[in-house]
Amino acid sequence: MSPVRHWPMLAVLLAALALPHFTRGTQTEFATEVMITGMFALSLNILIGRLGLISFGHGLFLGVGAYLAGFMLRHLSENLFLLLAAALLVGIVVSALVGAMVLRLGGVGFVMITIAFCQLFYVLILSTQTWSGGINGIPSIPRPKLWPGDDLPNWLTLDSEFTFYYVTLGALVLLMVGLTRLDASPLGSVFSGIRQNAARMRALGYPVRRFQLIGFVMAGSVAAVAGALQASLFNLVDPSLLFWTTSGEVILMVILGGVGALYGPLVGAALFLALFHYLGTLTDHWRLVLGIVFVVVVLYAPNGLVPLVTNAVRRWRGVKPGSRAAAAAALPEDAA
Amino acid sequence: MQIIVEQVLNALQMGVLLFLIASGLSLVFGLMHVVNLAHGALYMVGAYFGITVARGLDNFYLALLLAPLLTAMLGVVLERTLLARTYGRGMYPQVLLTLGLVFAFDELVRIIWGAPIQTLALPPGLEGTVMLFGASVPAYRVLVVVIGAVAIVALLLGFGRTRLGAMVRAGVDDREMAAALGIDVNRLFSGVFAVGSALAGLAGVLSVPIFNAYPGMGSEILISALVVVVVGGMGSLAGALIASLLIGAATVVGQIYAAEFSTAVIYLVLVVVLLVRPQGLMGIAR
Repeated sequence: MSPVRHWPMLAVLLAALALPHFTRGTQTEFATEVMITGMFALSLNILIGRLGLISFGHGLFLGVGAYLAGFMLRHLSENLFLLLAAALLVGIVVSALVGAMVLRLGGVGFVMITIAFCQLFYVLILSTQTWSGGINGIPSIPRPKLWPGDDLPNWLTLDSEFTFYYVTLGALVLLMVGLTRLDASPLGSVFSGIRQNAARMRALGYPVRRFQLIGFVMAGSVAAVAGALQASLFNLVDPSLLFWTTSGEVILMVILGGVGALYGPLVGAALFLALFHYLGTLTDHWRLVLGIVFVVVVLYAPNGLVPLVTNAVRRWRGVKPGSRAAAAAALPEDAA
Repeated sequence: MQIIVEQVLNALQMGVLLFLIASGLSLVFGLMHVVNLAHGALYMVGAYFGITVARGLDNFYLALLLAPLLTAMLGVVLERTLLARTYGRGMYPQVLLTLGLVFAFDELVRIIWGAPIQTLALPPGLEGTVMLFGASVPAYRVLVVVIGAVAIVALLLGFGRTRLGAMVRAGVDDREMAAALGIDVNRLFSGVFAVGSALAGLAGVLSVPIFNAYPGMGSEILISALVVVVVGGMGSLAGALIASLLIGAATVVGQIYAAEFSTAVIYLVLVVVLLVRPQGLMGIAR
């Protein structure tokens, strides 16, 4: 991960704090959706960018969080903090179980097995019509509350798009800080070593699969939290979350933005959703545009758009593009 | 008797269609180490080519012949113009490239052929039933199984008994060594990709009268094919055949005993095989 200077981040944070005072309701909700999807993409990048594992089944954990939110908010409790804690916990348990199985296969096998696992949950949801709603999903999920009680002022519930925005922003900032700390920690170095050469790390005595499992659980639990927030935002769980193309889309976001930049997946998610919402109103065929853009990025800018822009800025300033950062950002060579 | 023959035929039909798709995927993987996620898209395009030919020329049999050829041509164009650029850059650019193609092709089909479900009427000779082992079964299912069996035998013989097949096997075993021995591996890639695409196209057109055609059909079948490839062992044709028949049979048994969960059965097979034998039934542990 390339080093991040602090003042641009602070400027972005200030802009983000001020944003909902300049947007209308649906725009604020769109910004919230971008941040939630960004968290989802950032969580996947723990696997792609840091460990060099492309999981094609990451939608599974988004779905786990979303279905959990559907149940809890409708039947158990409307408390936001309980919900997030439960999503984190269930995400940890499910991703530990799934990870222990899928990490048995490396390289291409990992790609296939993660797709298959995600699809398994999809068909299980479809075939348990009575409690999961099957193909129709779970509708009319109430939004969580910050405080117990029935007669709360609006701003203490996530029914207020302001509150929802700031709660999501808080979660996102927490995640970004956590990721920065991870990259600076010994654990981050081990991850990076595994990405660059798993065989060498194994020879050095590192239990590679155990570290991969740690990363897998981190990624899965954050994705579950994002899923819980997403279900609360849309008041709905749609089983198509679990179809493997959802997992494909989030890979698209991560790669578009750039796997090597800390905030690359966030930019990728914003681009993707902007394409979806604004191109989607102009033409029904935005996916074609997206597919072609993606193919071009993979062929000609494999490090993604964020490094493309930052390198251009550096070159314009007369600084040699950071060769160290570029080398660290490159996708892993054949891990198989 | 009626029920047994019918269900066995269903299982065989399912297994045959799965094998036609999975064999191409497995071969392309074995030789080129590419997980071609766009393989499902080729199956879908094959189905739509079949619809266009069958309606345009008013001849279903010609569609069975032309759709695989057209799909093979498309496959070679994709391989030469796009995939070839990623060789030597590791597996991830290739997987990601084909993922982009999945999205592009789903939308292209929507633009060219429209979003609604389309189907094909069977030609007069195939509408009825035929007697088989004292049971009357749909003639078309028998045809699917027969065509599939012919394709399987041709593929296994071509792969196992011809000089070209030996070259492909050498490439699967050790690409560098095969190239060093003077085999033009790049041309072999194109050839194998063409055969794989043709088989996917054939499966596509064969499946239209049974499952209909719609955008996104490829993304659905792709997963079953991937499961077959993993269960059979990556790169192994014999493994793909065994796994296809196994999963075809498991699905039919599932439909009889636990109809609600029949779609989950193939994943159950996958998880069991993965836990017991991670390299797949016929795969070689590396």
